[in-house]
Amino acid sequence: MTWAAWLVRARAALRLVAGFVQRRSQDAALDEELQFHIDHATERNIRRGMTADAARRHALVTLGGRARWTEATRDEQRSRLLDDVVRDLRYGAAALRRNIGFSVGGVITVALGVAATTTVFNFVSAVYLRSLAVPEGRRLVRIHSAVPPTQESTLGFPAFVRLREHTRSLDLVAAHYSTAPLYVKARGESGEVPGAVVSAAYFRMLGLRPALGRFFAPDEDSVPDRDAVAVIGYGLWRSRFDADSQVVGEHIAINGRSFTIVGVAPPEFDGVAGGLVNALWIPMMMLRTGYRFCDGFDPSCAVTAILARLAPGVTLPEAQAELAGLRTMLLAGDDSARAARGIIVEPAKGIRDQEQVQYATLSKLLWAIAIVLLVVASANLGGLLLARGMTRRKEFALRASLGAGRWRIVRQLLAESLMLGVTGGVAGVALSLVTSRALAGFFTTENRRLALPLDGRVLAFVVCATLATVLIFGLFPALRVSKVDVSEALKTGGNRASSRARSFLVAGQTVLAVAMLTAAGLLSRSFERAMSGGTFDPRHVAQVRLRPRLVGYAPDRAQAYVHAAIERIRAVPGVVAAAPARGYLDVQSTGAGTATVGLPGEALVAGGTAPRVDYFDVGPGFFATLRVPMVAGREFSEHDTPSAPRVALVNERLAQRLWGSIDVLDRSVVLDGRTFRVVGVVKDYRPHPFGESPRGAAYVAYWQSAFGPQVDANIAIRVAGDPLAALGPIRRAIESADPTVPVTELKSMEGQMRSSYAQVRLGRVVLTASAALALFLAAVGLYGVVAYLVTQRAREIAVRLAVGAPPAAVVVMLLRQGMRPIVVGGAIGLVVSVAAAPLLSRWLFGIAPVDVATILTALTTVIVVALIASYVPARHAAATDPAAVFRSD
Amino acid sequence: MARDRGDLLQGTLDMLLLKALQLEPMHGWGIIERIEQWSKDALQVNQGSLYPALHRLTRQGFITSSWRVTENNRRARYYALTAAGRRALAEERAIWERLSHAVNLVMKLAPG
Repeated sequence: MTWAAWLVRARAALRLVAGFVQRRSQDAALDEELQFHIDHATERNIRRGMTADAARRHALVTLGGRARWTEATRDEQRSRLLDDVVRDLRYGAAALRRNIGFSVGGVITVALGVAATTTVFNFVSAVYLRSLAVPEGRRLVRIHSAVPPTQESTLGFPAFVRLREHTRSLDLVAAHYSTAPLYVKARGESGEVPGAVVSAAYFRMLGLRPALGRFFAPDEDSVPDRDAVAVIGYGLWRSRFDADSQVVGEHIAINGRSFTIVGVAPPEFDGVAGGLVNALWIPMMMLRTGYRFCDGFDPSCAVTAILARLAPGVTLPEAQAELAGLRTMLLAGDDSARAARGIIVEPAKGIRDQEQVQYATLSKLLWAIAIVLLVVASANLGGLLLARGMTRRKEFALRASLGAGRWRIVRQLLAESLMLGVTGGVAGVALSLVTSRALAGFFTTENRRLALPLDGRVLAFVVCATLATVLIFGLFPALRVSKVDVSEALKTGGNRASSRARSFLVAGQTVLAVAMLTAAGLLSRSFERAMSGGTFDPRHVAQVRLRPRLVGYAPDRAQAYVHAAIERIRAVPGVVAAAPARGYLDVQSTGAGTATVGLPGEALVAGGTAPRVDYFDVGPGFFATLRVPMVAGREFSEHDTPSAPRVALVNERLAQRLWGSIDVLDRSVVLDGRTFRVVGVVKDYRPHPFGESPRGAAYVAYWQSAFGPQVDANIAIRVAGDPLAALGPIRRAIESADPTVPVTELKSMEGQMRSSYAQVRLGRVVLTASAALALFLAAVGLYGVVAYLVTQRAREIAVRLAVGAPPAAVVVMLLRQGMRPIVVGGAIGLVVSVAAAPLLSRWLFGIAPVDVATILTALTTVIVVALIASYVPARHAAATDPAAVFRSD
Repeated sequence: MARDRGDLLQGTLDMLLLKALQLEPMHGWGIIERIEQWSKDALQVNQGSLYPALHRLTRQGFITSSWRVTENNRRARYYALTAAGRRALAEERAIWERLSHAVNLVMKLAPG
């Protein structure tokens, strides 16, 4: 057995370690004593007439061979633990090989539990704990401001400049805007590249070396808009520039401006905004090209984030103290509300803060499931060990009667579980590579990436989790089994306790199966309802974002372009309708933002406490395109132009809130200080989590926006057939209107929604798989319980059958007894799922946490599976020939 | 099994070792020579089990050991009887006498 061999070597290595120094000196003493003996014996042999050689050989042989002699003497010595462990392992390995079915079962059980916890820990580590993968990434800190208690925001460029000049605790400080959509035209192809606008210190601070060319020079950090240079990502260099070594010096167009490539970033580096991929970098001084909504150099337009490296020897608290002292200076010039904020200095770990918040529920759910799976797996392993231990009681009883102590037997059993655990752990880690990749896949899009590598932290966690599990769950059966009443065990090899434990396990697994099936069912229905909802229809809808702002179009030119593009889109064969909107079309988003809402004549309370609602600008035919029903009135038309009277739509919720009725046509509403006439009421169509009311929403005619002139536009497009197939023709139509304008986010609405609901889908997949596993384990366990019942009551069954009881009655009798743990477990599972479901409410769209149909489905599934699992052995028992049973006695 | 070579009866080795150490501390080799000498070479101590037995007796507290220099100026481990060892020897001897007396009685009975 390789394990044993390995351990022998490990033992040899361990001997060298301090703890065995004593043992070594004992060995040396033993050798000396032995040598003394051999010398004397040899001497005597020579005296008796042997040759020197023969005399020595004889002396050695008489002593019984050096090795045997030493081993035997050692056994009498005190520090035998390690030797014993090795022997236990050797013995255990043999025992495990003898019963391969049991071993494989145990290994799979441990592997599943370990894979689940490893994957989840890896996820949590990536989201919250992992530092940036750059040299000394642990010394990097994020610096931002905070509005108590939890809101965080970036500090902005002027604060960055002041910080860079005054700080002593920070070695290097870099400003970066890492969510820059850069529209790149290079080598005849154009497309959006996720980019970053960074100050010159950025790459130096990260300790990176360019793969080609150079990074930004300090000089390029001084004059706005002067140095149009760019560093491209390694991946982009390979995919778009064919890994051309002459790429440095090449010109590319970024957001309509010509840039010179000066370098290529090293492989593996994809930015500092954890989770978001960057593939192109331009200098901070080019911020106005990378960000066009406001002037990023102005204090009121704080888009840049700050990343810094702690100076050598400086601790985080020291840096925090220094920056707290610099607060007033850093925030000087900000308005009063912003100036009241504190400065936060925190390690640059995990993904971006706002996404950490989004992932909180998911992380908790995954943790809960992983722990449950680990416990189930462990309990199952415990059950397996117990059942197997019980069948080996005769063996242990025999050994006990030969003088083996209880500790000795416990140790033996623990050694076996340890070997199962280690093998299962290794298999689990291998499996987690696959599951981690699958999990990461849920969060990976073109410009998003969640890396889940197996790092040292994860491995350390795995080792601890596995060992703890195996020892704890191996110990109980070991203690149970080793408590042998020798004569009793030798007589009967008794099995009652193990059967009770198995029933208990089955009940526990039933609880989990019911609870997890219910949760999986809830998420499943929630996802389906969110995707259709009955109040809108995302099928056959494509979407696209037109971004004239990126190439610096003035509003007039941009609007003319959008008009032209929509006309071209409508002309594409198969397109049924197309309508523009401001803000994302994603039904989960809040649209263009929020607006204050009120009735005419209401005095606005000073200080911005006026109620706010979600605000949308939507074009003519928008709701028809999404198939959202109008409750009253009309939707916008081509006649609602900037020169026409201003009109708005409200959703049912807002109508009820403002007027207590949905009969509100021709009333006036004030949005952000402008008065609009209500011309229609639209259905509340955006899915909202259970427990939250639908959000009030106001819709303003696209060309009459209260938010200022339209520039960029999102277009919803209904097509007759497959929206994905229509994307190509749609892009060509748009580019025929003006090939210079960036066309981005061209996709099907369903695809967009699927990624919006990635967490819900993931929860569904994970819960379904876990529930299936729990159900499977429960079914296997139940089969075992009923099969045991059958052997226990074989005689009784035979008697019943012999006196004429119908086989069906026997089956019913066995089922009734066998189903007991299922009924108990099902009842508890019901309570657990009702109690736990509210935890999921954030993900429940259009469905209540306690959904009778879902619970009934879960219960029915469990009961049907359980009936099948117990019917098979019961039927088998009822079909036996009673005479055969009596004969075998 | 070659009884005539004077292999020891099981369990008697410990007793003989204690007896050999009764007069003075000795090293392992000395014990072997002493037993062979006393028994006029009739008893052969199995050298392979000598040292395990000595360590067992040490652990039981019947003997102690210490390193000394022999008359030939070599280091050797000497074993000495403890008080508990003396009591154990007395007990073993009593048991042995009763046992051998009983065995003798049986063996001397004339058949028939």
